[in-house]
Amino acid sequence: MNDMSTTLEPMVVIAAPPPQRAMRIRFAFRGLLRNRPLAAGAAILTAILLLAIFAPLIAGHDPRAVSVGDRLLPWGADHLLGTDMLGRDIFARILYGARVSLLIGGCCALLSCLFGTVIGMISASSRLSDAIVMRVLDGVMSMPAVLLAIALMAIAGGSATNVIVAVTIVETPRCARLIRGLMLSLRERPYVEAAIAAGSGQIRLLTRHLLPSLMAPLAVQATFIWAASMLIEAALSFIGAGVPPSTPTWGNMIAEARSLWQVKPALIFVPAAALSLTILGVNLLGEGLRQAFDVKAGR
Amino acid sequence: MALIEVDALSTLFPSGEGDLRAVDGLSFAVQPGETVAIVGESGSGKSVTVMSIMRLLGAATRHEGAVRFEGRDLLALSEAEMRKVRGNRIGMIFQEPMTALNPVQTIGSQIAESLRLHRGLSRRDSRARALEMLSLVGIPAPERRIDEYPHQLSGGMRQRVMIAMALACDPALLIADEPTTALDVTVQAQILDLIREQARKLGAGVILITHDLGVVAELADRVIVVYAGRKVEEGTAAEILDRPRHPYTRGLLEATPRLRGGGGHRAGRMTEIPGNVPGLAEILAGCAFEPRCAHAQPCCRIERPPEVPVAQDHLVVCRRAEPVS
Repeated sequence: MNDMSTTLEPMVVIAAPPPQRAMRIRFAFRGLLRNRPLAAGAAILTAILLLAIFAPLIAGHDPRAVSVGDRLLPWGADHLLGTDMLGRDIFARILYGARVSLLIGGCCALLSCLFGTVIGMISASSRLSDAIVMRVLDGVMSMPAVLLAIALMAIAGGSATNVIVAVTIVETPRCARLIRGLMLSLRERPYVEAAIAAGSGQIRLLTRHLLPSLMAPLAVQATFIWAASMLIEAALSFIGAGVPPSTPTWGNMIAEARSLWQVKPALIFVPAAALSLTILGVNLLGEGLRQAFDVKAGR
Repeated sequence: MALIEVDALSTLFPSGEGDLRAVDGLSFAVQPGETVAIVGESGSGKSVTVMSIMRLLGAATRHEGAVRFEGRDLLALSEAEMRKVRGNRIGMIFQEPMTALNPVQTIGSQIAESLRLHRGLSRRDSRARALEMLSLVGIPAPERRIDEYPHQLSGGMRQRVMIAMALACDPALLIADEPTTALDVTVQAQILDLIREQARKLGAGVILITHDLGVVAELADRVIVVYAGRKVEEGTAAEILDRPRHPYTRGLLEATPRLRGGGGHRAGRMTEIPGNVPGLAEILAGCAFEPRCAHAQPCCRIERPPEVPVAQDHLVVCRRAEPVS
C-alpha cells in the first residue's frame, strides 16, 4: 500500500456539464408523467377536486331544490344526469356530494397523519412509552371504524365533524404504528449516528434527519387513509349515521335510491361510480407515490 | 500535555447474562499532531472504544475509567456539553460513506450543518465555508457538487465529503473508524493521503481504527494492538511492525497477505491464529489471549499479565516478554 500512493497518477476527472435548474425541474416533471399511476391518479383527483370546488358554478341547479313535477326525469340538456324521486338534479347532488367526500377524506388523512406522527414518535422515544402507547393503540385498533362512528353519532349527533373525529380515532393508530416502526429503524441508520457525532441535538435530529425520511411513507399512508375514510363516510351516510341527510352525499344518495333502482338504475349507479372513481384516483395516487419514492435514492 | 488521555476505560453493556465487557481497562494517550492506530480483529472492541469516547452508545451502556480531553472528563460531561464537543472539537469519520450521509439532504447542507450548529454561521457564510471544505478535500467543481445528493457521488467522493464534514469546525482530534474499509484500493491510498495531509495542516491528533496493517504502515505514528477489549501491545509503528513481541501481534502480522519479491505469490498458505476471540460474557482471570496462545504457560491463565517495557516506546502486555534492562 505504501508504494501504491506514490505510483498513482493524479486523479483524472471527467465531468458532464451540469443540468440547468429549469432543465432539472423539467426532467423531474417528465419523470413524474412517466409514472403512469401517479399521473392517472393525479388527473382523476384534480378533475374531481375542480368539479367539487366550482360546484355552484357548474351544477346549474340547487342540489336540495325539490320539484315534484320533475321527478325521475331521464338525462337531458337541462338535467345532465336526470332527476331523482323528489325531482332534485342528480348532477348537482353528485358535485356537492364530492365536496363532502373529499373534505372528510382529506381532513381524516391529514389529522390521522398528524396525530399518528406525534404518537408514533412518542412511542419510539423510550421503551416504557413504547409499551404503554402501543397497548393503548392495539385497543383502539380493535374497534371497528363503523361501529365506533355509530356510537359517536348516537351520543353526539350526526355531523361532518363527528364523522371526521370517528374516522381519525380509528385511523390514527395505523399511522402511529408506521411512524414508530420507521423511527426505530431510522434511528439505527449510520447517518443518524453520524449526525449525533456531528453534535446534533434531539430536535435537530428529528427535524433535519428523521422527518424528511418519514415524509415519503407518510404520504403514501395518507392516501390509503384518505380512501378508507371516504368509504367509511359513504357507509355511514348509507345507514343514516353520518352527515345529516339534508346534505347531499354519495352515501345517502345510494341509500335513498335503494327502493327505486329497478325503475331508474342511474340513481344508484351514478353516485356509486363517482365514489369508485374517486377512490380509484386516490389509490392510483398512492401507488404512484410509492413507486416514485421507491426508485429514488435506492432505499 | 496529551491531547486526549484514555484512562482505564471499560465499556459495559448490560445483558441478561450479566454485563458484557466490550472494552476492558484500556489506557492510551494521543499527543497533538500524532496519529495513533488502534488495531485488532473484528470484535476486539476497537470501534466501541471510540464510540465510548464520543459517548454514542446509548443510555444503557455503562462506562468506567476516564477520558480526559482538553482538561475535562468526557464521560462526566452533561449531554448538552458533550454535544458541543462532538463535531466541534472532535470530528469523526465513519466506515461506511455509503450510508453515513443522509440520502435526502444535499452534501452542502450536511457540511454546513455542524458549522451553523457550532459556529453559529449564517446560511450564506456556512455555505461559503462548505464550498471551501469541498475544494479542500479535493472534490472537483465544488460549486456544482455542493447541491448534489449523496447518491450522485462515488464512494470515494462520499468519503471525501465525510472528511469535509469531520474537519469543518477545525477539530483538535479526528477519529477515523475504518475510513477506507469500504473503498477501492486505489481510492484508499488517496483518502489516507487526504486524512494525513489535513490532520497535519490542522495540527490535529488522529485516532485511527483499522484492522488493515497496510493502513497502519501508511498513516500511524504509534500503534495500539487490542485483543478482547484489552491492550496487548503498544509502540511506535516501526517497532510494532518490524519487531512485534506479543504472540497475538505476530499472528496478526503473519496473517496479512503479501506479495513476495519477483512478483510471484508466496507459496503455501497464509498463517492463521487458531481459535476464536473469547465471548464478551466470559470472565477471564488471566491473559485474554491465553487460550489461543502457542506459548501459554499455566500461570497465564490465572493472573493478568503485566505491562512490560521491552524497548523505548514499546510496551508488551505479556508474561513472557523480557523487559529492557
